[in-house]
Amino acid sequence: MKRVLLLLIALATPPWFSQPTAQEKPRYGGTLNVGIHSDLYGLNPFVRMRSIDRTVRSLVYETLVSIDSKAEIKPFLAESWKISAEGREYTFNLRRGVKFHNGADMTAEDVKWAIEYAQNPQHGATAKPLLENVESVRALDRYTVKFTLKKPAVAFLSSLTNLGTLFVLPKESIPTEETKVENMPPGTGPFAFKEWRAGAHASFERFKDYWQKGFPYLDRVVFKPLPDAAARLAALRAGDLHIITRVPSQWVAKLQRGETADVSLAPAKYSGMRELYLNVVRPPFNNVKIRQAVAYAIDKQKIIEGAYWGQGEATEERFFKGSPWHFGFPERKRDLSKARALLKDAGYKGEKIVFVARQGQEEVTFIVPQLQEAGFNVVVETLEAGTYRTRSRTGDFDMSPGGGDNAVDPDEVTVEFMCDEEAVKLKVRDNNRTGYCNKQLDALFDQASRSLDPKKRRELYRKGFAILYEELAEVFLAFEHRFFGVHPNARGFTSDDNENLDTAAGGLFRVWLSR
Amino acid sequence: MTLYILRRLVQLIPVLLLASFIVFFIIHLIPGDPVEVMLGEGRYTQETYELLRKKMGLDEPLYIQYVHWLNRMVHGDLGQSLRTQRPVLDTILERYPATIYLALAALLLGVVIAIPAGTIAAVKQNTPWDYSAMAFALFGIAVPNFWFALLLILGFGLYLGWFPTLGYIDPSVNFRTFLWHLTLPALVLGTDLASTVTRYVRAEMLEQLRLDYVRTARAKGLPKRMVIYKHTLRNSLLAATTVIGLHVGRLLGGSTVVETVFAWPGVARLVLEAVYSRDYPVLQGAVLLLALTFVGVNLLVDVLYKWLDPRISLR
Repeated sequence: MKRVLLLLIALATPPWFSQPTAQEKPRYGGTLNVGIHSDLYGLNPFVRMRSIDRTVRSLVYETLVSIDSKAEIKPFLAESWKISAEGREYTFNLRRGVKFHNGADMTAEDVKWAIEYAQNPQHGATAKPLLENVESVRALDRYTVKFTLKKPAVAFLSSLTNLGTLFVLPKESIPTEETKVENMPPGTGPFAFKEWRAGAHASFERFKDYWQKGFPYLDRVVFKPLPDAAARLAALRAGDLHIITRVPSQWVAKLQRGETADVSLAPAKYSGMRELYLNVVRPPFNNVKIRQAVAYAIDKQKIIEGAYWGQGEATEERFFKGSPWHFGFPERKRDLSKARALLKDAGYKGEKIVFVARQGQEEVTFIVPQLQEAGFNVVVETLEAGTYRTRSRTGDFDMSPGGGDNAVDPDEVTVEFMCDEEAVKLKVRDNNRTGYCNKQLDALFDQASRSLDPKKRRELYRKGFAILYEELAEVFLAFEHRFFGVHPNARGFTSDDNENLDTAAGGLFRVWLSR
Repeated sequence: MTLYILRRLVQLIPVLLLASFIVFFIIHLIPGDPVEVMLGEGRYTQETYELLRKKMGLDEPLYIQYVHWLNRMVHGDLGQSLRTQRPVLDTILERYPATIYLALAALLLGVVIAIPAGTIAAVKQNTPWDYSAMAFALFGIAVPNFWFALLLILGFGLYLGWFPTLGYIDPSVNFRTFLWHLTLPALVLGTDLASTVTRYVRAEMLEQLRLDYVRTARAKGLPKRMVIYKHTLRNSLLAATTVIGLHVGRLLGGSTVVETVFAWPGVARLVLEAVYSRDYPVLQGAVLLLALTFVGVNLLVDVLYKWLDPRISLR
């Protein structure tokens, strides 16, 4: 009977499921080698850089509140909080006895300093636009800090789960008006920064006074940039690396089937939202019918199968199915006759469409023939990252693929869709890439961000996103599933939907090496 | 001879100046700027952008930036990396040994394979020896480095487990581990070099073997082996030396693919990273150093000519 039961359990557990750890006692010590798909760009935690920087920083810095694996907001550096009735005042009671890597105690003054540093335009902090709504921060006592907002914002709490909004570091870790840092300033995370040799490695040492007692298990974490995905996977399988980011999609299915027993997968399922930006301020995409024709011309499932090797979910919306902010708008199936009719209706006569893509954006290979089949005259320009960035920022494109993080609350992403006519004029499209502007939508999103009634708020957002569903400034394509690859010797690893390495949902602090 | 070398060293100055000038202006011709790359895909304000631009000294006209750079360079200061904020000289010198070790190992391997293979192929022309040497040469030229590298990783790293699949260990830390890590990347670059050089050695050798002096030497009774080792081999090495000298440039700056696949922290990858992140000072410094090494190696080649063929005069 027992044997049958074991067999049943074995059958019910997918082979790629992260290793069972319940029976085994975690071991302390060892160096964990992590292969990353791109090197870090910089060490100043206030300046955003690329997603890999955030992934690595999440080892060193922590937020006041965090999201757990059930997408609920949990205490992290703050033990508890109180929100005033009108939603303008947020008071946090900080966890006591939390130490920074330099040995100092974390206090309310540090939180206040971090916010004020980020708000100072001299510092170029990427969180500045996100903290625009914070009017003042006061340290009520050593462990109590109060934020006063300019206007009520329900989403403020969830935005604080994002490392890009706020993290805590000792006050004055970076001198005022200084942005250059040679080392990562201390944080409260499970590992402290040791050194970074660009192109070679970035290493982090165990923080023995970490507030989550008994953690972390590892002595050291070393990140090694290895941009070639095949080489990264081979090194993982050979045991030279313990964890790798972004397992090549063509391998995921094989690994899931258990064809290679030497690697398991840890999903970061919704970290790769993929979309298509349409430049709506110039012809031909200033015509909504032509934009709609794009949506009917493309076959998202084919793109997922081709470019992501089946590892993705098609979407019509910014938030994935299962998120509280998914509204269930009807799926647009590929319909060539409809696309052609829309093009004809709009008077499209084969004007050239410049499709600006970045190297490595594989979806382009599949989107372009689909568009051409529908009658679009598409010319692709594949550019290296820096050039691509400039082209998209200045608005010098007709269409361009892009992506975004998995957001927790719509408030974090609405700026992508709200009017910024000045940015279009000055050719500095930093937030709203497409140039889309609709005052009615702005009003809805603005109301929603102030609303305290969750039901009403959801309804306002639904209305707003319904406009976008029809107007299509951006065509949402899919959530590309991303996976960490894990060597059998590395136990207990889980990540979240944003490829973070230290949150309430899991991360490297729980990882230990069996050998 | 000394005078010749001195004169060549003085000639270096305009070459390096020109190299730095070309690199400086070409990198600025590419669209994209370091501030945008630095701020990445996240959201930021125009204010932030302008401030960072100013802090990096990128708001000044290009020629002023060049003059500033030149002035600092002459004083031995290559500036700071825009990306890591560390001194450029430190950054480059840290990565330089890895590149040099790899290039030297590849060079050694290439020469050790190519000279005997080319010689045997020529002496035993149209025999299986010749065919296998030429098949090897063809393989080396035809197979892309990245593919060969991945093949070696899979074969020797993953399935056999003989060699590590990635990384670099400084020889001062552990010399054996260093060699261990060096083997596969050196094999890839060495094969590449060997295949080219083998063909040159063979062609040159075939030509020499048909010359009158060989017939004379054989006629006066010198054994074939003696003729080959003492006379023709040395004469055939002239062309090979030129090719090797030029190939060093490829080993230094062009081993990007191999450095990337093996996570080998060399200068070639540093250059690529600097281009991607528009890290102008690092790029400038690295190119300068590579140009310097390249010119140095070719000076060495010229001196070697003299040794190989005393008729050549260095003036």
